[in-house]
Amino acid sequence: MPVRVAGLVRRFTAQASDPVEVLAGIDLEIPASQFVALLGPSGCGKSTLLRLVAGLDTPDGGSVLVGGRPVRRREPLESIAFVFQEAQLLPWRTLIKNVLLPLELRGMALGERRDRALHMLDKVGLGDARERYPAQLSGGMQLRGSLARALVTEPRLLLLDEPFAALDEITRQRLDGLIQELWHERRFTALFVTHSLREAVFLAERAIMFSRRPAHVVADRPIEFPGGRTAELRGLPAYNELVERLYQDLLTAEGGA
Amino acid sequence: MTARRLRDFAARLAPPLCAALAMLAIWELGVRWANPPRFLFCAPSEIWRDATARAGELGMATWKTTVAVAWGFALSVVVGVASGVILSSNRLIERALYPFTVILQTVPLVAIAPMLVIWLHAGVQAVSVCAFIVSLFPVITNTLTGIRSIPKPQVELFWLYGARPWALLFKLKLPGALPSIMAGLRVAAGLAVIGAVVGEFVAGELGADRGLGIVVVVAAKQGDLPMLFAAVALASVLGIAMVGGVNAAAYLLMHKWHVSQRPD
Repeated sequence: MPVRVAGLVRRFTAQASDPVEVLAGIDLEIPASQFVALLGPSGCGKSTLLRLVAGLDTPDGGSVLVGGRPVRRREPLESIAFVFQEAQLLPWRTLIKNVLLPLELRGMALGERRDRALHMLDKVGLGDARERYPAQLSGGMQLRGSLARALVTEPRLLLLDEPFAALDEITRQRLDGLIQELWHERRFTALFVTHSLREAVFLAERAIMFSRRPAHVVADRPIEFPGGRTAELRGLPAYNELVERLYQDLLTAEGGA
Repeated sequence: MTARRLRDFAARLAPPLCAALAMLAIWELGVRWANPPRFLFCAPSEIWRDATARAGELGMATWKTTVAVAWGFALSVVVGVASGVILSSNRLIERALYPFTVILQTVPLVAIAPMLVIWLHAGVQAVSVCAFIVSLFPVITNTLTGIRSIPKPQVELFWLYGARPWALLFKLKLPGALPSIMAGLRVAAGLAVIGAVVGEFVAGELGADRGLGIVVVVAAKQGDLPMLFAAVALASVLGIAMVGGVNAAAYLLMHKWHVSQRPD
């Protein structure tokens, strides 16, 4: 599902006299099924952009179109799913009940939503843990659960807000592999906010680097690997070259606002 | 499994029970040794003797107070949780009304009780309302705090999936606030007993239908120390039973998922 962001402006007013401009007129054109990494210095407004695309926030100017339809706050589009920084599973629900929650809220029949949640849990490798409560799951398992919850509605646009920031490197790489696999299978459009340049290069087809506040685009690079994305990719010179180039972009982004 | 649970239960019950027995023993021996005048102090054995002699009367009084406590507490749960939900729904409503809930906690019950007698007559209704007024505040604040403390992303998740208001309430807000609500109920359960007993001082029914509060007042006037102690002890037992009931409910509702219910 294509995403079109035009002239997007967002200010926050910590003090009424002194509004902070976070997004200063962002324009983006993202074709359907593209996997895009959003990069930039901490606090630059990447998450704000993601929230505006999801309809969790109202812009002060400009517009967001998802699949040609305008996004407004609290009028969510059915085709969008969001993965938060932390898993945010509801602690009083078992894993499977967490995963089927979106279907339950949309009124799907019990049998069908259970089947679909089970299927999704198998996909993320948590079929055996379905009756466990979140407190009984590791951090990585919880995040896989939240990924399953996001994908159970078969979204056409998946928004991920630094979902794996708190994980150890190995778990993180495994989850990156899982996302990659799921994306290949389903070809949803993905907007992935991350601080990890390596993660961005491994996952995305395109990397967009934002400047410090107020954010504007400082670099927009295609990431192409003809051989596909396997774990071996991380050893290739081309991979490391791209990471290095993005690092230079990040330095530029940090330096000039 | 059940044998183990029984053992765990016994292991938890034994220390406070031993402590109570030790204190009673010291009390008994102290009174026998010092032998103070009986209008000043009495021994546990004398309390036991008088209490068993008037067991029927005390049992009836305990029952009357229990009924008032139960009504007041139940009302508090329903009204308190509902008020917390309403206050949490809107910042303006909260700002407009929350200050008034503080009145509940600060106005002395003995000052309100006479009004309740005027409106409801002395008796179980007025006493229940006393228990209700005293125990309401912690339920409201804890419900409010509990709902306010639900992580924002979880609320946003419900928005994203187009949840209806009732789904947001029953599937997120109430279960999310449950640990906090149960903490409020634990405080309210004890307060309801205090509210009922103190309420009876002013608004209790006299005669055959009297509750523990009236037993306390009458015994105090007659200088009947054993009866006074017995009534206080029964009120304490009632309070412990109420709190125990709330704890049991908290365990049933949350033991599978909440840290507060996990064994050490």
